Amino acid sequence: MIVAGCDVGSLTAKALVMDEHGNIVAYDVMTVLPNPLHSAEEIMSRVLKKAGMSLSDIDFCVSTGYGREKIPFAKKDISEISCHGRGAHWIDPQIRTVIDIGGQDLKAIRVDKHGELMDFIMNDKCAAGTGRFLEGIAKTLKVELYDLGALALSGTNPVTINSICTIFTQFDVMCLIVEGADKADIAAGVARTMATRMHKLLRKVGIKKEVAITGGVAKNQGVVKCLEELIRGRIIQFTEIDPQIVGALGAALFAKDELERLGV
Amino acid sequence: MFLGCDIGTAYTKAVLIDKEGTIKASDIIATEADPKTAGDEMLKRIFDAASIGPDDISACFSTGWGRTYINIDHREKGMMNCLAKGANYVLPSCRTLLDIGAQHCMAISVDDMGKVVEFRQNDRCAAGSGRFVEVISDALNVPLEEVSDYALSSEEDITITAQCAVFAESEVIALVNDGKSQEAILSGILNSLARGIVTLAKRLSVRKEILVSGGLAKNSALVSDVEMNLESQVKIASPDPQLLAALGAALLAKENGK
Repeated sequence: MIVAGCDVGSLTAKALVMDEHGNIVAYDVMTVLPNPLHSAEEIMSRVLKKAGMSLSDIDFCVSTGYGREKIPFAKKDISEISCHGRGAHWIDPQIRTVIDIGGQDLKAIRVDKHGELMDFIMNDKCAAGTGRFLEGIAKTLKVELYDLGALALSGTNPVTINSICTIFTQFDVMCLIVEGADKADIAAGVARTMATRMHKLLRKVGIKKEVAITGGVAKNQGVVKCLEELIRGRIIQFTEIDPQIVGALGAALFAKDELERLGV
Repeated sequence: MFLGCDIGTAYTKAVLIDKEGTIKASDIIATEADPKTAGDEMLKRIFDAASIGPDDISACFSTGWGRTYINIDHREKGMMNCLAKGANYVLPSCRTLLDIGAQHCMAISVDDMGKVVEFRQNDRCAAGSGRFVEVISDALNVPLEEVSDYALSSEEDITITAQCAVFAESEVIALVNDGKSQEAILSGILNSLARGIVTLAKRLSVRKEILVSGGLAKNSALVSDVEMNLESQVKIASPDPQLLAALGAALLAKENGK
């Protein structure tokens, strides 16, 4: 019994294959192609290749993410909110709150002791605080997106950023560069505004321990550290597993449920 | 001579008037995220154009995002007051002014003396401002100054659903992949922007005459979309809608300076 989860987001596509014992066989993350269907096919074939399998070996696949309805090989689609909650709770059953930062959205999720969704708040109307926000800032600062976290941690005197809007913040950063501000201090200031935005959302959904962070921005240590300061507590970070894969993991777990329900 | 300067997030503008209120010189240059350099360059240009020096300026009023950076003895003035003053001078019957700049959109009720009665503004989000158009024209590789012509030649109506400029950019890329034309997309973008501007304006009681100013007032496709959504005719601030705040600042300098 082999199951798969396929998570096609706005910026990245992720897929994961799991065996009957609940072991993760293979997973991968890639930048999306213009068409969500092509992204799904490409990421799935990459993961199947890693696993040494073909699509016919998959007994059940659940899709999730922004492009989840366009994936023909998935037998069911489930919202990424449920999938992130489920995936995070499976990794660490102590987790009750998940903050997930996607490419184009920001979600605060509460799960119960079984990993089932209790409540959530989502912002998908404004790019502030999302992956796209950091991507824009990285571009303006002319640094790699994945170097932004380390750069922020090295900032000793974070700049104050008054804008919320991604476009306006990019402009503020341009002005700071012209004024001669240190790039690390700018990155630190940006990490702080990002963490503040996430903290607001977490407070709305209610913070209950343990708190975990998922999605691409979980890899930005500058943001994670600022958020820990704001919530005055620890944030669980996944080291054994890629924090970007949590949604696909949750989808695979739901696929496993479906097979069990069907009595396979 | 009296000088009005408006250092904006995208452009730096200045108007020089004499004691009769006649415009003697004016200019518009890109700020390029460096208001200090832009301010210095603007002073030099205005002085050269009018063959004068700093000592010939009796009073200078400065406004806009970078207003502190003008390197001459000046007083700082709120954007709204300058716009209202300019609007009253350009069109005394103006009762509502819509100013659409790079990073703000303002709707101002103006009285017959050129004073601000009431206002609404959005300066928190790029959705209602020039940056919105800039982001999309960059994504489509269409020069900003040609956006209006592209939109006007569209033969199809597209509704853009995203309000956020960043998300609208993704939506636009998806539309390009679906084979939609640049013309249709830009027409949809300008209509979306116009709807946002009109929503803001309608939070005031919009009374005639309606004047439109700011850099975006030069985009005739946008202005006609604003008219359509307002269900009312508007006028474009002369001599150049982008100069209205600087002109108002110069007029206030003439009235109140020294």
